[in-house]
Amino acid sequence: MATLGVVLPSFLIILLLSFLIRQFQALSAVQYAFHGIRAGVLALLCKSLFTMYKKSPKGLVSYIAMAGAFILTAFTPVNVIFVVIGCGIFGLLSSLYLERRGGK
Amino acid sequence: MIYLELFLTFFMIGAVTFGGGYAMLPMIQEQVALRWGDMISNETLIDFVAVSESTPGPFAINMATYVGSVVGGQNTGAAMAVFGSFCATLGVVLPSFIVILIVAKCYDKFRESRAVKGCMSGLKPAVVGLIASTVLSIGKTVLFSAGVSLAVLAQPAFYVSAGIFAVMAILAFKKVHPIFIICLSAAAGIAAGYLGIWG
Repeated sequence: MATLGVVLPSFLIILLLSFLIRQFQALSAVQYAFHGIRAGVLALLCKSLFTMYKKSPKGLVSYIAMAGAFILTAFTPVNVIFVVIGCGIFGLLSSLYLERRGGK
Repeated sequence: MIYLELFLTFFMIGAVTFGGGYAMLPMIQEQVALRWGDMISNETLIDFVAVSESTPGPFAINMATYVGSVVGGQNTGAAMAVFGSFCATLGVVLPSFIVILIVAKCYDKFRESRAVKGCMSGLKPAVVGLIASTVLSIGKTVLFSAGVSLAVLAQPAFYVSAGIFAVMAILAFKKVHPIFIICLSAAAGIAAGYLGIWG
């Protein structure tokens, strides 16, 4: 019930917005606005990339996962879902390995 | 059956994503291009990002609702658009709902367990790589919509887009609220439009 309470308001707002945008998308002012908005969204994404990088652990394992995920998603047709699962397994295995080596 | 496809696709996305914000975006982008590329262009998807970002509530859930309404409402009426958003939203919420129900009692133990920590040590940096690839592809769409070539340097639209991007990036790093950034970009876009920049 609580989940519903959190999800429902934005659900209704989004629904309304999607109808409004479809209704008015032929207006040139709306099209112009979205041209500008796309450049703004790119800026927000860059900010988010920076924040995520700051929050992410640093070290060899991290950099390999970062580079691997980037190259696989940007330049190969590998499904992103497999990239995510692969990076999870890679993190698990590498942490087990480091733990075992550290324990000896 | 498009509504089942909406549900299953977003269920899958919800199941493998953690860490909110834009972490889910690369996956949504790929799946949308793969399944509904004829209805939702790359540009439209970026518009969705702007709308989802300016609406209260978790970003990924808003994206699911929006994609659901467009895909579900295609060639049908408003009622089916509502049903489409319902399927997509339910799909994206359900996995975390189930996980939380299962681990609620031992959440701290779960979070601190070695297996979960190990996976996270690979997943957190992976998200950085995924978002970097989204920045690359959206950057291409925004700045080089006609293809990456030197010809864009002759178009004023390129410089205006790059200028809006640069100003908004500075504002974003100064922690200006995203909604404000989107409104400003919209105003700049409209002004440029009436000056005939977008052609």
